[in-house]
Amino acid sequence: MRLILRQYLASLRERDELDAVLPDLLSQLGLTVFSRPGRGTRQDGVDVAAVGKLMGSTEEKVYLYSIKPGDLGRRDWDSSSEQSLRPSLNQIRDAYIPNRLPVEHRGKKIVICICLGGVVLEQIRPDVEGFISRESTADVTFEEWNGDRLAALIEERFLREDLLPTDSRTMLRKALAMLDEPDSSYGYFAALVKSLSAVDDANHSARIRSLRQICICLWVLYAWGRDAGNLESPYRSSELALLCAWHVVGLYASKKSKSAVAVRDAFQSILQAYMAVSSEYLADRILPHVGKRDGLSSAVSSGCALDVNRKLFDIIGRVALKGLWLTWSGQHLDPTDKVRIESHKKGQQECHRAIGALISNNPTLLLPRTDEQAIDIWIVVAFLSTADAPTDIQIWLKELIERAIFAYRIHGIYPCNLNSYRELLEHPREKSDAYRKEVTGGSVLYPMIAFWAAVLGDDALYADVAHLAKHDMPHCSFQFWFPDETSEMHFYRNTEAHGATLAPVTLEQTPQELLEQLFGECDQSPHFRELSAVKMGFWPIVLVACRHYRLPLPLHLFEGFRTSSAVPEEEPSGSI
Amino acid sequence: MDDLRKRLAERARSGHLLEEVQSSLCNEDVEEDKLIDALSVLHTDGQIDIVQEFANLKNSEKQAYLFFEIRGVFEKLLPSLQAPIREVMDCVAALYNEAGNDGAAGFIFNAYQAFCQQEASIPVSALHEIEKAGASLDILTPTLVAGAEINAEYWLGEAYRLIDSTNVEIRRRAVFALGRMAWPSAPEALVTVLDRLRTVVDCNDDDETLSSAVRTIGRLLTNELFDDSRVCDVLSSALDKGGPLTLHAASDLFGFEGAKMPKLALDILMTRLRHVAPENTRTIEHIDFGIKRLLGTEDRELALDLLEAILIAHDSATDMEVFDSAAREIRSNGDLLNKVATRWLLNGHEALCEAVYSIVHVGGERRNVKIEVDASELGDGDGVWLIFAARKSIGFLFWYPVSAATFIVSLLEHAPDGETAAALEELLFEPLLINYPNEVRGVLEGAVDTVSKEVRKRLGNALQRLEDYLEDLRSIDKIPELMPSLEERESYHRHQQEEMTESYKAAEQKSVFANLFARVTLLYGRRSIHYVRGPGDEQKRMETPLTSHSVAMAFPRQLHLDPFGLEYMLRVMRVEKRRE
Repeated sequence: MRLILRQYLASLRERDELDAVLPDLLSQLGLTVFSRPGRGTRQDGVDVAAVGKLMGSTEEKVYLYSIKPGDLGRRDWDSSSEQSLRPSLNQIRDAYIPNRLPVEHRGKKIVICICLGGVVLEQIRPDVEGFISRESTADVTFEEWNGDRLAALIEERFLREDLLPTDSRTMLRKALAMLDEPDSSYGYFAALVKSLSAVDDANHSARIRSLRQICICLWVLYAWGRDAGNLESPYRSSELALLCAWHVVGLYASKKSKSAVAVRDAFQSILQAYMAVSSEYLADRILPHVGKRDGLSSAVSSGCALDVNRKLFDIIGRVALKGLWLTWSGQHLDPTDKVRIESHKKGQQECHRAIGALISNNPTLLLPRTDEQAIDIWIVVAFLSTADAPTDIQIWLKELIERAIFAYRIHGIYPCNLNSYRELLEHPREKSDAYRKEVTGGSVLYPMIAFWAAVLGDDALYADVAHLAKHDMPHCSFQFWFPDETSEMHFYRNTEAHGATLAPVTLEQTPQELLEQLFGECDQSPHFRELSAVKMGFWPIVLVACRHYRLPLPLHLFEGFRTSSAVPEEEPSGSI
Repeated sequence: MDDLRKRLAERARSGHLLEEVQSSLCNEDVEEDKLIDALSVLHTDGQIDIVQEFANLKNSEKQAYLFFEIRGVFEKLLPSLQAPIREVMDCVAALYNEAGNDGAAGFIFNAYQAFCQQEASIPVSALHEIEKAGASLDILTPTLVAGAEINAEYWLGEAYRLIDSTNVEIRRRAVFALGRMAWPSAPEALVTVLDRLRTVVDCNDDDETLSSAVRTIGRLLTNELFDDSRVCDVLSSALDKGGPLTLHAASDLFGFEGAKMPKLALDILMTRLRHVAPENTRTIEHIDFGIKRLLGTEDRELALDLLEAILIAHDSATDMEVFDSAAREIRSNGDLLNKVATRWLLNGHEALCEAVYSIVHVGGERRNVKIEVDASELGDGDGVWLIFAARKSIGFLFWYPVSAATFIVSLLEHAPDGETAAALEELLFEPLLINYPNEVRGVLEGAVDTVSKEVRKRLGNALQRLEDYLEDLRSIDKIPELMPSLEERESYHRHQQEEMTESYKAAEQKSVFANLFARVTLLYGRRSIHYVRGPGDEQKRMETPLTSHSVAMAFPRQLHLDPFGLEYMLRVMRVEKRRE
């Protein structure tokens, strides 16, 4: 296990990747972290600061960490680079200790820790040791926390047998070993995360530790996946880890205790890992190729049109979800922080452009194979609606419905309710009305399009869906899903079926009447607002859960589109 | 010899003569002539009754070839057989009926005719049996034909008498016989035949009778003694009154006697044959033979007119595959193929465009054939129509990209303006180059040296766009995250395997060879060893080396990137119509 950790630590590329783990590790070691890594530059050379007694020490000391990913070589030690270590150590001594050390910790002995993912290379060791012996005093000492030491501490504090059972350690090893077969890898990691997050009946410290363990394991999987050149399992695993972690956070929804804060801090680390995985997945694998005609479709490397279709809808859902996270984080920015607001806007615009390019360069995105892919379409449309791109939505949905109607009428490859891959390969197995009826018994796709047609005031699009419903698919039950009182319990871990379905929804009513009916049902179903993710302002978690567990999006997310006549007295909460 | 005869006699006594005949036929040691001689001697000696024995011969669907082989023995015996006429007639009728609809069913009548010709009294007795004693009417025609071989004048008179019979069945057969009987050489006799036929046509509405009349008219038409117009007048009347059978008879004349027909008669036949119904596939097959023949003559425009007229009239109900011979003839003649493809793709009628596909595809042909525009078919060369024809070529020849590409490249030479040329260039790039980069690039690169400067520029543009497109695709490293899972990959392979197996089975069922040869499955090795029995039961060792064969097929890229888009595009290109 230590070798696994060692390799994980050595492969971390960015300083903030090590930042993400270190505070949890220090907390687990019993220290109190009083300065966490912030965005941007270091605080006068310090990345993480903590206070407490370490390794059986009787004296409380201040630990100041300056972090460097990978091995420490000559360039990293002392060069003109902003990230060089020696200038940082000088800054700590000259600026941080005299000026920024909190008053309550002044007078305590200080340990400046050189924190490395790898090791100090032999060529630079004399320089480092010379520096340390020259700069050490009675009150200020230096320590080297290299990859080996960190790995030993992580293993001891998080993954030792009494904390992480043998089964779970095996799951982690298998998840790493099977990274090239993402389904298997994800399966093992899912089992690990589910066992770690089954802490409803555990005490606070066990819950906190479980989240930190999930975080460490996720980082390990991510680092190994990156080395293996395959981020599929880390991506899906990070979604699951995030959701299972949120379930634990939900137990502290209205609490402000120390434990609640620690749980939320641990969740933030997992969120950070999730963001890192999804950003790298999209930035490295997807976004550079969205502008290439047939680029990503061809990259699916399969002669099977079904594979191309499923992958592309999956990808576009991931891009849109990223955009929605950016929308969410943008809502929490300081309005005076123009730079970050601008950066967020750029990110959103990039996602918006990527979605447009994906659709225009990969025509398989103009017709889903299964009704269930409506979930990905929902997410994309949800993002586009935040990007104020109604025309893009209308054009896409129009094309989708036209293709779906045509395919349905000619017994082509129309969207169906089949979920088994094997059955989908054979679809349509028969060109008969009976078969067509059998595999299109219910739909969330068509009512979703009708909903957006109504929201956007596109009467022609609405009429197309209504015509399909009345003349071609009278047998099909159009439906919408709403969370119920059991959703909070099961939404984030998918432990059982939950929620309620409104069906059949008729499109013989006017678009306005449809919206009134649907938003009226939102009023009748208050459980969405009771979801901890909604109450605590983390509405993208709901979208992640819907994407990951293949659930339709709750309409409450779109209550912002209610027309004035249907707006309730209270401001809708959790609306995008 | 004695042994054979003895064995036959013994088996006849136990009621198994036909089985013994069958077994002798299968025995390489027994020569067929000797078998026939033995049977003949046994019959003459009174040890067996050949006629009675063979009257019991039964046909079976599975072993029809055995029935015809055994019946063939009887056919060889019959011309020299001494037997009561009624028994022979009943036996022949039974064997004819037992043969069912097989094309060889009527061969037995040749043997019967030869039997009748042994003595002048035999056909007279036979006719008596038919008219007075209820013998099968199926025997009437061969009886009349046999009689005419002995005394043409007398038996023509008998035929004329029967043509006036009130019994339509007798009338039909008599008219049919008239066309097959020997006619006196005197011109007056032939005039009588024509007159009688005119009467038959005027007085009968029965389709079968009229069809027989048409066949007999066909025989007269090949006789130089007659003025075309007189015979053609009767032919016209018959075709006007007749139904499908009459038209079928006309197709026979067109298909098999067309070369000897005068021009006027040919025109009459072709005018009427346009109205053939789609369900009468045999008639269409005969028309196909006639068209195929005409395509090789200076009258090929007439043949194309007829073909076009039928295809359009049937509006895709009749596939060009039925005109198999004509399709092969067109495909084998580059100029003709160019003319037909240009004309029909420009016309845009779905049936004609489908026919272009069938011609290229004839006989399941997978090799692409090059098609070039026939400039004489372009008319005023309006750019819109060039684009229209190019789109049709893609719509219908998409699975033969080289054919479609060569056609569009040659269209480029006739583009009247830059806009048309740009549109054609676009079609070359998408969908052809994008879907079949290797095949179509080969066509374009091969054409570069032979085309005009303007066209060369267009081809260069298209090739450059392809290169840019492929470069974009190549610039994407492998993205393992997008790979389908192992389970999905295995499922897909299984699915493909099953589809291949099913199509192989379907193809095997259609295979002629599968029914002809025994099937042996070899599990190992690269050659087969087997023994065949030679003369004198000598076993001869044979070795057959096994060779592998493979077929390469190019699948269009869009088939897996956007199957719906591909299907939709092709459908649109196929159904769009000319608006004059």
